[in-house]
Amino acid sequence: MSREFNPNDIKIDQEIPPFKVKIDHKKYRKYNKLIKEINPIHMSKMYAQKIGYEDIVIAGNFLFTYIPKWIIDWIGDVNVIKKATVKFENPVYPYDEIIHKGSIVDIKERNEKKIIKCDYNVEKISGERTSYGTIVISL
Amino acid sequence: MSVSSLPIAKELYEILKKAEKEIGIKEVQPDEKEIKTFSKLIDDENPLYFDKYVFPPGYIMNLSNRVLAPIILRTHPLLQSKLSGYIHVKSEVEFFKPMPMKKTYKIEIVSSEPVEKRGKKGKYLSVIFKTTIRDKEKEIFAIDNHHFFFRL
Repeated sequence: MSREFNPNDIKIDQEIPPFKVKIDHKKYRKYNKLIKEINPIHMSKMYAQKIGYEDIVIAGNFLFTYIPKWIIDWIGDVNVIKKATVKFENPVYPYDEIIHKGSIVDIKERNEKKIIKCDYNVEKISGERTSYGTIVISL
Repeated sequence: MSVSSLPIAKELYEILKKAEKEIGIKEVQPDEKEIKTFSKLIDDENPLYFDKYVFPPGYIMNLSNRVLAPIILRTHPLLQSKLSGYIHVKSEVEFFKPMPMKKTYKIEIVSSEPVEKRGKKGKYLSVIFKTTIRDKEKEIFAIDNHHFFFRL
């Protein structure tokens, strides 16, 4: 468990420490190469602009990778996440900086385990929400 | 929401179903070197992953993308003529067990019938790709309901 997280001391409305990510375009290009991305919206600025976006849109798969990382870094255990949902609301572009914010909304005891539900939002520095969802953790 | 009756929806669905049948259930094996590169790219070099030899949960979509991408690729001719793009809009991921790195997984993708929806940039056909990740003994490790919008 990480120093900030104490499973005996958790409560409803407790905030998850916020987590900032500055999108690095160079790293994102390498990521696209690694996973063999095929959607031109994630690779071609010209194509993305043609269909109404400001720039290439950072892929949901890439953005999702930060959700479990955020939670695992908070709790300090790699096997705690049981469910994660994400709804992408507004596009994230290269060079954007996003902040993950969330809190505990429910705690249940089931089969000697603590089931914790968290709601979260991801926003740009400007305050525009880019995605949101829920995470269910089992301790 | 009811299934779309538009001819383009039927055409899209037929292409997806044909692709699913031809591609079938694919075996994939996480590549340790790839996972290390992935972890570095997202600044997630948590030693716990390599202590316990499980891959980062965020890696799951990269694994399933190896099967989903060829299916989506079959829709590209339709995208060039009758649709104007597609985008991943939502995912609902359930993790049943930790996923060891040194294991072969079987990935199956089943697409839903397209449903018409309205988004910020116009009308879309919404398709859910249910992605199930099992091992060779058919034990389920994860399921991702991967929602895509195909723009009309």
